[in-house]
Amino acid sequence: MNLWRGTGSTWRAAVLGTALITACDSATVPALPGPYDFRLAVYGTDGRARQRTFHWDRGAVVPVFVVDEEPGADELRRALEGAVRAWRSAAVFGEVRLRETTDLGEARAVLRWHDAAGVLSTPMTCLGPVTGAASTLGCLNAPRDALRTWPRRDGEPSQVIYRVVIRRTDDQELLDRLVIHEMGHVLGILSHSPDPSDIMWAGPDLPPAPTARDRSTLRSLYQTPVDLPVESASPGQ
Amino acid sequence: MTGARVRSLAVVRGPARGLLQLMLMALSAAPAAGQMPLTVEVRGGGVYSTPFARGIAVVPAELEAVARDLEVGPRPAPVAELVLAARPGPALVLELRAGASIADVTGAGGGNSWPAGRMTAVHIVGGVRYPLSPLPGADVRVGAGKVLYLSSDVNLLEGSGRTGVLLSGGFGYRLPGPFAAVGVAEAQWHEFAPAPLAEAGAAAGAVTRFLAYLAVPVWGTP
Repeated sequence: MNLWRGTGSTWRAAVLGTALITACDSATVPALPGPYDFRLAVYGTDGRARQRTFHWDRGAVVPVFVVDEEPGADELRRALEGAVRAWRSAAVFGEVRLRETTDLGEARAVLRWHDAAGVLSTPMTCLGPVTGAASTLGCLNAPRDALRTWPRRDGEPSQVIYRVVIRRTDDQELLDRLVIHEMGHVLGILSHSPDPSDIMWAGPDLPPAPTARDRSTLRSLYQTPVDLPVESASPGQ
Repeated sequence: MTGARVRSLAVVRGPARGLLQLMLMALSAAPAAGQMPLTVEVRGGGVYSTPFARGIAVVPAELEAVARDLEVGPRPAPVAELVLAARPGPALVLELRAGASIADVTGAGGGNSWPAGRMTAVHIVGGVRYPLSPLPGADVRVGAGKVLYLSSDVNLLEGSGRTGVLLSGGFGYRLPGPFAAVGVAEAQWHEFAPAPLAEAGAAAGAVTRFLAYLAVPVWGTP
């Protein structure tokens, strides 16, 4: 065969290139620091607490509605945009993501200032007190216009809605971090990190973005079966 | 080959140098552009891609005590190309081609899979093909170019780093029949380092795509 003669070095380079093509593969996401517990303590009718897991369907896009009440609606919206980006980058396997919606009917989470009246002033037993700088409250709506405290103890199937309430602040950086934290709850991280360096730490001085441990926790959460009684973990996409 | 060309090759290393050498050889032997027979081809087929990223999810011990392999990547998809080919000599063909494929992206792990969005991959490649002399109708083809990923809903493809240098190699075989169709099997390798992967602490990676398609000349002299 004259294939390998004359222009031998050229052919060898080409074949080497082809061999390299088939030898290389995708990026490997490194092993992350161990996840913290993402479950919620749910108290049953017997008064005993059980750790429960909830997350949206894998691949879901969760619509978040911002209560458009001035002053401060733009600041909230800007903070939500940052949270959408932050958690999108954290969920590199496409497990879940957030998006803003202007349709309250499709929203599965509502973000508002704590003193806003707005469109959600209907009776909501899941409101509860706003503790700390921000709170995320899980509610069930069955029927849809009668929200109840979530999780329900009677185990009736219902849609899930989160209500995220933020105390007033002029500090946009703090607001950004608070909203990232609360959106972590909306995605299903229902408890807090024991490490103050994580975005899901319950105390002050939050980091600007989810840490490696936060990402690891999100990844683990979406590989864990849901064991809360809900009708559907689909955000309705 | 001119001295300037030889000097320019000195800064190129590895397989890219071999590809560049092939192209320069072809150009050195090429007649004036107006004398080169030109052909326009359309190509259609399928593409399979290795995953964009692999990783591990460690489920806490009190839950299940398992570590699950995860991966995210495109599903097999159709691919189409438009090719402009020139034949500077009886044995050599230069080609410039642009192609696209639209694929669903899925995540997978723990025995489950989930939709992770939809993406479009666009590539442009310059290359050469040369007959495999012992096999009538067969040729080997190599090229280099760029790939660009577009998506509005795939987490990994948000932000920067969605383009990469692409190297390709493959074989073609002239099929019997009235349309001068050529069956082509090709592998493409390209860099892959989007911003979300970097933010996740992953090293820059690479993706290999395997393509199989039919090429049919639609204009000019095959």
